[in-house]
This record gives sequence, structure tokens and C-alpha cells, in this order.
Amino acid sequence: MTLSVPAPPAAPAAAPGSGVHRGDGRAALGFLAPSTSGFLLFTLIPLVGSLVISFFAWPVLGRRRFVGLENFGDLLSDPIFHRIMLNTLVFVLVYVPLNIVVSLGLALWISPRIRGRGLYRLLFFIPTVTPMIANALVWRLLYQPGGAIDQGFQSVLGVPSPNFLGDNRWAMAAVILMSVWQGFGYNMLVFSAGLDAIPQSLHEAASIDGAGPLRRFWSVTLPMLSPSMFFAMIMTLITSFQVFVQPYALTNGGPGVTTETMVLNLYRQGFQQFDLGTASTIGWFLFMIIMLVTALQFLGQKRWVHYDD
Amino acid sequence: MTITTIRKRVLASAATAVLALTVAACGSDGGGGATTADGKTTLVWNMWSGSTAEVDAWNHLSEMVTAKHPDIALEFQTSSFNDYWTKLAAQASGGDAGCILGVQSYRAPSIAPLLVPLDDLLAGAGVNAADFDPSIWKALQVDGQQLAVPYDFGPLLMFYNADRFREAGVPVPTTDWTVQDFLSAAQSLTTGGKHGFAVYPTIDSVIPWSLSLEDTAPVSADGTLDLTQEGFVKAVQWYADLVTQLKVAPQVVATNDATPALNSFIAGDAAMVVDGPWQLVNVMDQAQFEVGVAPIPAGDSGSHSQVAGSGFGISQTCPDPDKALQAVAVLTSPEALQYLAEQGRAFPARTAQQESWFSPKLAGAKDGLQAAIKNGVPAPATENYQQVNQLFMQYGVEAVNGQQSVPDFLNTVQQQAG
Repeated sequence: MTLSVPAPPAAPAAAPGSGVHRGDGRAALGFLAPSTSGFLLFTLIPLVGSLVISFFAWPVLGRRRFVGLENFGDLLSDPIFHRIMLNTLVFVLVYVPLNIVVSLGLALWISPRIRGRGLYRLLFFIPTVTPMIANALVWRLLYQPGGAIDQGFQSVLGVPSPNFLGDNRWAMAAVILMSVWQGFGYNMLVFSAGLDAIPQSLHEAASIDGAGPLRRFWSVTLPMLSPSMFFAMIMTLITSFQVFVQPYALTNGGPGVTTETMVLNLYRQGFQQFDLGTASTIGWFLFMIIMLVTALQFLGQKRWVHYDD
Repeated sequence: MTITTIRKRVLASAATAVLALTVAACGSDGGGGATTADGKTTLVWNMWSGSTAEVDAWNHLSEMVTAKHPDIALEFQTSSFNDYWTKLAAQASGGDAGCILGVQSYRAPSIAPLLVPLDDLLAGAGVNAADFDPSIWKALQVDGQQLAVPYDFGPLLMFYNADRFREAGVPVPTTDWTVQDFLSAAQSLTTGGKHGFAVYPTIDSVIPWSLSLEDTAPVSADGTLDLTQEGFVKAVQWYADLVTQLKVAPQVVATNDATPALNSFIAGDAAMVVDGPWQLVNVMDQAQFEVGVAPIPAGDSGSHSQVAGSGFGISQTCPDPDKALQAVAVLTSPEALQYLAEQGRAFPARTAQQESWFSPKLAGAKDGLQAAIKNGVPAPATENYQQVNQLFMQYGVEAVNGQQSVPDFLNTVQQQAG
């Protein structure tokens, strides 16, 4: 089939004077139309729309009023919003490293050709594909007073466990723990695939040179895995800044605001207090934070990410 | 015309068609109603529901509307109670809320701008205020304007696990029991990992106690919120002490479960709980024990509960409000409320139909509910009641568990929502 296609003539010879065919632009537009219209309709227009809304006092019902940067100023001076940003930051700073360590650890554990490797991969991936709401219900049964963990405490130690979901010192830890359990499977698969792609010959060469297992891990496995780690880190960071379902389903942001994150707060402002202006402003704060962090990571990648080419 | 041009044209028109379809899909249902060529009007009816049995009951009512007015058909759209308000707000902001809207008395002030005042229209539709319980009729007014016609109502009640009372030899609550009786029963029933009572810090479940113990309500008649007044602080302190001092109720958790206290009652972990008659038929279906009903125990100011309920209103964006009113009149007609009452669903807002709610399944609730209705008081709400409710529940968890002082907790909520 491919052999019968004649070689394309050299471009300049075919159409002197016009680098591309006149109608090509419109044809390209036609091909681009489906994805472009989707992008416009569902991404760009809402994005610009939310930026516009963030400059208004925009109640769902009632009069809209242009307020300029007031929404941004109000949020920046609101101690509760400070707490909510701190909560989000704590979540990210604890969750992302834990997630990477756990998923990398498990990926390393199942990376040698151990028996039942496929089964382990499947098992570890199950939490990621089960609906988060269902997971949260099960974790609530574990965490609540009189639940499985509490009963374990009572029978082994003779004292009740902390009230994980009702105690402001424990609630965030409870949310993070559930999130790690829920979220490590995806990164584990990424790492697992990355590990498989490291040529065995490198390990062998290092062994011959006298490198022990730890040395091989630091000097061969980790550098070779760094592109996967970079990818996993960026994606996990972005999604963890956007964390919503875990605190929503498990604690509903409580007790107080101890587990309320930025997106949960955005949801509340927009759809429970019907203040779309503030909600859009929070959305833009988050957008700017994520942009900044992602940009920093891309700048920093030169130092530690090694592309083998 | 060359083949390529035709192809391009086809491609371009296909792309346009896709776009147009997408836009059309977004814009359908606009205004909540449509009239087809044969003169039949379809009206969108937005209402919350909690189970398929409830959905079936509402669909039955919608059939009653079409039977009475063959030119009207209702398109029933539903979501859970909490999601309903979110969805309604989202739809209203896009200008396409349904034609007929479910309205709860506490939420009426917050959605008042969405609704058509009905005062001048009701007589023409054959709806007479005198047929309804006056407290719920009034509860659906905002600024003196009637925004909805009620179908159900009820004061909060004490549900009790009659089996647990009998096993422990504790006398079951009567219609004239007191807070002292309640406390001693709760203490006797708190044994072996089970509790006498279950609390959850919602503002609604605290109000009966503040009315009965301190004769105060957190929202004044004109809709201002005052959570930090002395009587209310005392009542909330008393409520929190049930968990922290007397330990007759278990600690609470932060959760998005709408009714954690009721669920712990249904599971048999708590012997008593406060909730509304609209829950009773569900509770009886789920509980593995005999459920009894008593009014709130009498404190220094008697036994009182606020009265809440729901009805149906007509949205401002409805293209055919006259037909919507005809439909609302059927949805709240004696026949419709009779039907709901016989299902045990809604305690009828029409006084003449109330008897049918009790028989036969809920007969045991009669004395308790009637006593509670007699002492029920109207429940004013603020415009941002949803927010008050949310904040109260969120910060209340720490106060009830003893991690924050009650005055601090009430100050926080007052400052954020007041």
C-alpha cells in the first residue's frame, strides 16, 4: 500500500509564490474545529468568564456589581482563608512526598520478577479505580468512635482511640492517610513501568564495577527513573492542590475548618453561599499558585531529571 | 465546484452542526416549560427526594395533575435535599430553574427572589388558607408575601427505642415528660458501649432545647440572627454537656452524612434522638426495634419545638404561571395530601387530612405528635440560613466534643454569618 504512494514533489517547486496552498488554512480549520470548539466551549470561555466574574460581587440571585479587585483583597485579608490556604499547603506538603515514597517503595518491591506480580499490581491499583465516595464511607466506618480502629484500640490497649474525624488535631491526618491509600496506585504503575524500562545491562555493568544494591539504587535506578518521577511529581502536585473529594466526603471540611481545602472552600462559596464572585477569585488564586509551582518545577528539573538520549 | 470544495463545505457544515447541537443541548429546558403544537403544556417540577419510594409518590402526584388537567404534564426533576439547593442556585443563575419549585420553610427567605408571590392568585385557584395549619402557612411567607402552598409540616419530636426502655426497666416517655425524666432515662440507658441519646450540632436540633429550657430562639421574628444571647448560649452549653459532662451521648465526628444522629439511633446505638415526623416512616422501615414518639421533654419554659415544613411555589421564570398554579393547586389538594398521608410520607399541612397519616402504621405516634403540634412555634429563618446551618454544624463539632468553648463557637458562627 505505502509503496504505491509516489514521493511528494518538493514543496517550493509545486507552488512558487505561495508557500502553502490557498485553501489549506480553511481545511486545517475544519480539522481543528472539533477539538478547538471543545476547547473554546469548555475551557477557554469558562476560564475567561471566571476571570470576569472574579471582579464582580456576583450573587446567584440578585444584582451583580463591579467591585474591581475587592474580592482578591477580601480573601487575602481573611484569616479563615489564610487557614484554608495553610490547610491546602499542609495537605500538599505531607501528601505528595508520602505518595511518592509509598508508590516508589511498592513499585520497587514488585519490580523484580516476583511471583504474582500482575496480581499485586492489580491489587494496588484497585483503590485508585474505586469511587472515592465509596472509599470515604468505608474509611469513615474505620475511623469513627466505635469503629474498627477504635475497637482495636479498646481490645489491645484498653483505651479508646482518638476521635479521628471529630478531633481537630487528627482530622487532617485522617484525610491524608485515606488520600495516600486512595492515590498511590497510579504513581506506582508509572514507576513500575519506568523501572521496567531501565536496561538490565546498566545494573549488570554497575555490579561488575563493584556497586552494591544501595549504590545501584542511588546511582542507576533513581537517575534513570527521574523522568517518571518528574512526571509523577508534577501531576500529583497539581491534583493535590485541587484536593476536594477526600475532605468533602470524609469530614466535609470540619471540624471547624481544619480540613477545609481551597477547592472545597470554592465549592462552598459558590454553591452553598451562592457567591460566585468569591468562588471565581479562589479559583484564580489556585490557578496562579499551581502555575507558579509547576513553573518552578520545570525550572528545577534541569538539576535532577536525566533524559537518557 | 471542485470535489475538494464540496468536501470542505461538508466538513465545515458538519462542524457547525456539532457546535450547534452542543449549544442547543446546553440551552434546552430553558424557562422550565414548553407548549407543544397540540396545546399540551409541559412544566418542569423541581423537587428533592430521598428514596425511590418518595420519587414514586411524587410521580403519582404528577399523574394526578394530568388527570385533572389533561393539557398539563409535569416533568419531575429531583435530587437529594442538600443537592437540591445547590442545583437550584446553579439553574437560577442560568435563568432556567423549573416552573414549580419545592420550597422548604427555612430556605424560603433565601430563594424568595426566585418565586412569584401568590397572595392575589390563590383564591382564583381555589386554595383557601383556612384549610391549612396556620403555623406552616405562615412559615412559607417572606415579608408578608405567600411564596408557596404547603403540603407538609411538623415540629421536631423525640424518637425513642421502646425495646431498649423496656429491657432496662425505664419508664417510656409520656406526652408530659420533663427534661429531668429525659436525663435520668438517658443516664440509665447509657451502658455497655451504647448511649441514651445521640446529638449532632445542627442549629435545627438545638432550637427545641433553647425554646423549652430558656424560652429563646436564635433568630428573631424579623429574621435577625443572635446566637450569642445569654439564653441560647446556655442552651447550647447544656446540649454540649450531654456529650462532654454527662456522657449520655457519644462524641460526634465531622462528616457530610446529613443525619448522623438519626443513623446512630436507627443502628440501635443510641436510645433516643430528635428529628422530624417526615423521617418517621423511613425510621420505622429501617429500625429493627419498636420506635416510639414523644414531644420534646418539658423544661422551665414548657415543651416547645419550632415548626418546619415544605410546599410548592412558582418560579419567576415560568413561561406559564397560570398553568403552574393550577398544577400547584392539585399537588396540594386534599386528594394529593391524603395520598401522601396514607403513604406515611408527609404529615399533611391541611388539617382535615391529618388523621389519615396516623393509620395504621404510624398510629403510635399520634399522641406525641399531636402534643408537639399543639406547642409548636413558628420558625423564622435568616436569608442566609443555609450558611448559618452549615457553619453551625461545622464549628459545632469542636464545641460538642469539648475542644472549643461554647461561647467561642457561637461567636465564630455569629461573626461569619451574622
